Amino acid sequence: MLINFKILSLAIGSYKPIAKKTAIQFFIWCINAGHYLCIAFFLREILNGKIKQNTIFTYIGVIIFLIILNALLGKYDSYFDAKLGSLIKTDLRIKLFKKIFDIGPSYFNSGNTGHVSTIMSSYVEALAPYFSTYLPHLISTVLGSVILVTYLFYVNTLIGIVSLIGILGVLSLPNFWIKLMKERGNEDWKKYSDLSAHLLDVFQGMETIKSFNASSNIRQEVINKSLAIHKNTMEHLAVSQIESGFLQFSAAIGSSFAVALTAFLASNGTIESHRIFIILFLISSCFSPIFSLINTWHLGFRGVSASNFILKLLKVKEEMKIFTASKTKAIEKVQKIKMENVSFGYESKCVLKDVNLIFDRNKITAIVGKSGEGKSTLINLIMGFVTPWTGKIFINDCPIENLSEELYRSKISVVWQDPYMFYGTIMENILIGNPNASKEEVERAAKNAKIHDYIMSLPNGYNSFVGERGMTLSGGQKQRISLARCFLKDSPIIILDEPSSALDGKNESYVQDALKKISKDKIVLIVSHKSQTVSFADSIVVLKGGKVHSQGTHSELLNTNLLYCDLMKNQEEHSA
Amino acid sequence: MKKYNNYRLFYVVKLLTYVKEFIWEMVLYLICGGIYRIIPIVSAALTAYMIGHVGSGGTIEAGFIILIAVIAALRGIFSYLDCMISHDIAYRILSKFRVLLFEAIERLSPSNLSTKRTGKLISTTMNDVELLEWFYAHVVGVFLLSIIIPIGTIAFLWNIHPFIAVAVIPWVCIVIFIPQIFKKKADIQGNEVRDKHSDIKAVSVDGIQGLKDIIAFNWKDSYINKFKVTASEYEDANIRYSKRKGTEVFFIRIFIAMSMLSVLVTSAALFSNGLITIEWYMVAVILSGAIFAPISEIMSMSSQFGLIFSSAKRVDDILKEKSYVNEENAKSYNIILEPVVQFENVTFRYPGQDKNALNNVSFTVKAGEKIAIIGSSGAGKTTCGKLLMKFWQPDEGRISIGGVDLQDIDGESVRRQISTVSQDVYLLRRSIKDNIKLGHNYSDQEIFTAANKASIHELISSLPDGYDTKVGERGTKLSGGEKQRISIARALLKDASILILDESSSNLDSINEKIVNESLITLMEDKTTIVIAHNLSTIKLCDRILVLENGSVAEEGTLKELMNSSKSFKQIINKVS
Ligand SMILES: Nc1ncnc2c1ncn2[C@@H]1O[C@H](COP(=O)(O)OP(=O)(O)OP(=O)(O)O)[C@@H](O)[C@H]1O
Ligand SMILES: Nc1ncnc2c1ncn2[C@@H]1O[C@H](COP(=O)(O)OP(=O)(O)OP(=O)(O)O)[C@@H](O)[C@H]1O
Ligand SMILES: [Mg+2]
Ligand SMILES: [Mg+2]
Repeated sequence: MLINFKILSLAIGSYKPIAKKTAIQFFIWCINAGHYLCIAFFLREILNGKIKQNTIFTYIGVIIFLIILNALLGKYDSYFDAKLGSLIKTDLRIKLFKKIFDIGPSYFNSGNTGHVSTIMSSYVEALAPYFSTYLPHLISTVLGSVILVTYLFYVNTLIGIVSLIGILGVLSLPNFWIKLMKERGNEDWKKYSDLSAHLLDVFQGMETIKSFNASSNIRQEVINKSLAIHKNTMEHLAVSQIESGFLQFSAAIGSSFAVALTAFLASNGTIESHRIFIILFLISSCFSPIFSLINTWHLGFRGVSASNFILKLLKVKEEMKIFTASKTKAIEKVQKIKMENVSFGYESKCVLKDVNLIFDRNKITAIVGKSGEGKSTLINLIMGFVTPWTGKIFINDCPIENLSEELYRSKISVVWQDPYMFYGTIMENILIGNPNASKEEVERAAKNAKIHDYIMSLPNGYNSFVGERGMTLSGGQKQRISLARCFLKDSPIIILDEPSSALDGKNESYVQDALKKISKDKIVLIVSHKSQTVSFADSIVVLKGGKVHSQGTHSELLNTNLLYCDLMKNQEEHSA
Repeated sequence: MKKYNNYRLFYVVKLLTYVKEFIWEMVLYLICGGIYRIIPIVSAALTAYMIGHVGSGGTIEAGFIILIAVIAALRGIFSYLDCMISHDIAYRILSKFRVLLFEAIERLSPSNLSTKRTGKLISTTMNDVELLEWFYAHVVGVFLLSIIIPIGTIAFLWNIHPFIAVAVIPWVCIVIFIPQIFKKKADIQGNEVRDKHSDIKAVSVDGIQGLKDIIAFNWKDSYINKFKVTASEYEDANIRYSKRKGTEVFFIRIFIAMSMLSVLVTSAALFSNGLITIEWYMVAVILSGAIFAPISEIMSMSSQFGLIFSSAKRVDDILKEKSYVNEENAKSYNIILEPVVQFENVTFRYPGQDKNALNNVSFTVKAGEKIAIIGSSGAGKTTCGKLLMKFWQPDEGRISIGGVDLQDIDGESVRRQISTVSQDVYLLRRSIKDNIKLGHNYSDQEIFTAANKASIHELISSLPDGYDTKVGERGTKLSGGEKQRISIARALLKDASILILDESSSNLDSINEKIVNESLITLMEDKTTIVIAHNLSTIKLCDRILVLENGSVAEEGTLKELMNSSKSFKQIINKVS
C-alpha cells in the first residue's frame, strides 16, 4: 500500500475519474467472481448427477452473458485507462510548464534543461499509472478481498485465516520494503535523467566535439552512464524482486495453500464437501487480481519515485515572481529608466556595484566596457531576470516590481547577445514580437532589419523552417531575424545586446538607419564593442570594475577618456 | 504494402541479431522463465485434482498440503530468477543500443541533423530504446513459452481425453490470430504515439532553452498553448491506440472464456457418460484456463507490439540513416598533411534550398599563408569552413588539403589537421578546464599558457573554483566574450597545422582583442590560417583577402590593393566613424 497525500495532490482535479476507474475495476472483479461462482455451481450440480437439460442451458446462458459483459467492460476499461492517464498527464505537464516560466532562466542556466525536460516527458509518463492503474486496482482488490475473506471465515475460520494472511502479506509487505527501496528508486531516476541530460548536451555540441576529435572520450562517457543505469537497475531489482518473490509466495499461500487446506479439511469432514468447489473457484477468481496487483505495484513504485522529483521541481524558487502588482498600474508614457544604487552579482561574486544610471526617452544610449564587465548582466537586471542585491530600478518613478509583469513586458523588447530561434518557420519566429501583427507589418519589420530580401530568396519564403536553434541560418541572419522580432514589437523601450556582432559594415549601416528611424520617442539601449555602432549613440556609458566609469558622447569621451580610447582604439587606427 | 506484411517479422529478426552474444543467458532465462510459468499451472492442476478427489468422497494426506506450500515457495524463487535474468540481458542490450545510437548521431552530425530536433533524438535514445526492454525482457521468452506451454498442456488434456483437447484447440488458434487482424492499425497508431511522445520532449527543450525570449516577449500563454496542443495530440494518439487495444482485449477475453466454457461443457458430458473421473474433470476445467495464462501474457504484450515495433523502427531508422557526407572511399590518415588548402571550382547547395551557398569557388591557401575571407552576412563564409572540416561535402568541384582530395580522407583525419574557433561557440555543461581540454591529455601548464594567450587566464584564476568552475548550460554562466576566449584557448591548444577562425573576436572588446591578436600573430607564423571576420583589426593580420559575394569569389588581393580599388570591400568592412 503506497498512498501519501503529497502524491495525491499531483492528480488534483482528476479524483472523480479515478473514483470512476476504481468502480469499473471493482465491477469487473464482481463479474469475474460471478463467472467463477457459476462454474462452481454448475460443477456441483453435474456431480450431483441429477441436472436437467434446462438448467444446463440456463447456466451456459448466464456464463456467456457474464463473459460478454466482462469483455465489454475490459474494452471500456482499456479506453478509460488511457483517458484518465491523459487527463492527469496533460494537466500536470501544463502545470509544470507554467512553473518553469515562473522559475525563470537562471535555474536552467546552471544546466537543468536536460533534467527538467526529462521530468516533463518521462517522469510524468511514469507517474500516471500510479493513479490510473495502481490506485484503482489496489482499492478494488481490497474491497474484493474483504468480501472473499468474510465468506471464507463464514465457511471455516482456519481457511479464512490462511487466506487473510496471504492477502495481508501482499498488501503490507511493500511498506517494509519501501524504505529499503526508496533510495534506489530515486537513484534509478537520477541516473536516467543524468544520461538524458548528458545526451542533450553532447548532441547539441556534437559539431564542436567532432571538430576537436573528442568523440571517443564522449562515447566512453555515454557508455559509462548507460552502464550505470544497468548497474543501478539490477541493484534495485535485486532488492525489489526479493520482495516480489515474497509477495508471490504470500499470494500463493493465500490461494493454492488455502485451497489445499480446504481439500484436506473436507476430506476430514470438517467442511461440507459441496462448498469446496465454491471455495476453489472463488479463490482462483479473487487471487488473480491480487497477483496482478503485485505487478502493478512496481508501476506504482516507479510513479512514487518519479513523484519525488516532480514535487521537488514544483518547489523550486520562482524567481520570475518579482512583479508583485496584482492590478495593472498604467504607465501613460515611458519617460525614463532609472537605476538607483543597484548592486548585483552571481553567487558570491559581485559584478555591478552601486550603479546609478538614467536612460532617457528619445535617446540612444550605448553601453561599453571590457568583456565580462557586466553589460549583459545590467540588461538582465532591467529585464527582471535577476533581482538586484541592493538598490532599485524604476520606470518613470515607479519601481518595476510594482508593475504587473504583463504591462512591464509589453513595454520592452530585447535582442540578446546570443539570439535564440525557435524550431518553426521564420514567420513564427518574427511573430513572437507581436502575435497579432499582419503580414505587411512583419515584412516591414523584416525590411528594417534588412533580412526581407534573404527570406524572399528562400524556396518557402517566410514559411521556411529554420531548424533547431536556427541551425539553417548564418550567424548574421539569426541576428537580423531577432532584430526583426524586436522591431515588430515596436515597444517604447528597446534593448540590444551586441545586435550586430556578426554583421558586416554594409548590413550594419542599414540596420542603424532603420534603428534611428524607429527609435524616435523611444528609449534605446545598445551594448556593443564596435565603434561603428557606439559612435552613433547619443550618449555612451563606460563600465569598469562594476561601476559607471564615465558617461558622455563619442567625441567627448574620445578626447577625455583613456579607457574609452583603448576600447575603441584598435578600430580607430585605420580611419586615418 | 507487401513489404508491410513482414514489418514485424523483419524487426523481430533484426532485434534478435543483437542478442547473439547473450545466447547462453537467454537459454538460462528460458529455463527459469519456463519453470516460473509452469509452476502455477502445476499447482492449480494439483489442487484441482485434490478438490475433485475430495468432492467424490476420497481423502487426502497432510503431506499434500506441505507439497503445495513448497511449490508456493518455488514460485517465489523462480519469479525472482526470471526477473533478474531477463532484466540483466535487457538492460545490457539497452546500453548497447544507446551507444550505437550515439555513434550514429555522431556520424550524422551536423549535416543530417540540421533539420532534426535534439529532443526527439534523445527521446529515441532514452524512451524508444527503453520500450525495447519489453521486447527483450518479456516478449522473447514469453513468446517461446507461449508456444511450448500451451502445446504441453494441450497434450496433457489430450491424455485426459482427446475431446477436451479438441474443444480447446480452435479457441487457441483464434486467440493467436486476433492481433494479426489489428496488426496494421496497431503499427500505424503505435508509430503515431511514439512520434508524438518525442515531440513533448522536443517542445520542452525548445521552450526551456528559449525561456528568456518567451518571458521577455510575454509569449508565455501562446507557448503553453503550443505545448498543450503537443501534449494533447500525444494523449489523443494514446487514446486511439488504447481504443483499438480495447477491441483486441474484448475479443481475446471472449474467446479465452469461451474456451473454458466449452471445456466445462465437454467434460461435463464426458463425465456424465463416465468417460472421465471427477478428478480429471476438475483438472481439465482448471487447465483450460491455465493454458491461456502465458498466451494472455503474450496477448497483453501484443497490445504493446504496435509501440514496441515502431520504437524498433525509429531506432533502426537512425542507425541505418546514410550520412550526407559520403565516407565510402575515405581512408584514415595518420600522417600530418602539408597545410595547403585548395578549393577548386567548388559548388555547394544546402539540401532543400534552391540557391547555391557556394558557386564555383576556387582559391588556394599556401602553407603558412594567412588569408581572410570576408563578405556580407550569408555570403557563404562559414560554409567554406564547414566544407573544409568535412562536415558537408561539395556537390561539384574538389577540396583538398596537401593535395589529397577530402573525398579520400575520412572526416576524423581531416579534422585532426584543423583547429577551429567556430562562430557559434559551444561549451559543454562541465568545467572550464574540461571545456578547454575536450577529452585530451593536456598538462595544467599547457592549459594555463593557452588561456593566457587567449587573455582569459586571469579571469579564470580569479573565480572561486578557478579552472574547475562549471560553465553551466552551453556556457551561460559566462559572458559572451569569455566564452569566445575559452574557445580560442582550446583552439590554440590543439596542435594542428591549419587554423580556421570564424568571427573569433566578434564579442571581444578592443583591449582583449589586441591581446588575443598578439598571441595569434606568433601562433599563426607556422600555420596556414583562414580568418573570417568583418573588422579591420583582424583582417590586417592576413596576407591576402578573399571577398565572397553571394557564394562566389568577387575579389581577391592584399589589404592595400582592396582598400584602394574596391568599393564593396569598404562597405563590408565595419565602418569607423
Ligand atoms: N549566470 C551566471 N552565473 C555566474 N556568473 C555569471 C553568470 N552570468 C555572468 N556571470 C559572470 O558575470 C560577469 C559579467 O557577465 P556579463 O555577461 O554581464 O558580461 P558582459 O559585460 O556582457 O561581457 P561580454 O561583453 O563578454 O558579453 C562575467 O565575469 C561572467 O562570468
Ligand atoms: N544547414 C543549412 N541549411 C540550409 N541553409 C543553410 C544552412 N547553413 C547555412 N545556410 C545558408 O547558407 C548561406 C550561407 O551561410 P553561411 O553561414 O556560410 O554565411 P556566412 O557568410 O557565414 O554569414 P554570417 O556572416 O552571417 O555568418 C546562408 O544563406 C544560410 O542561410
Ligand atoms: Mg554580454
Ligand atoms: Mg558565418
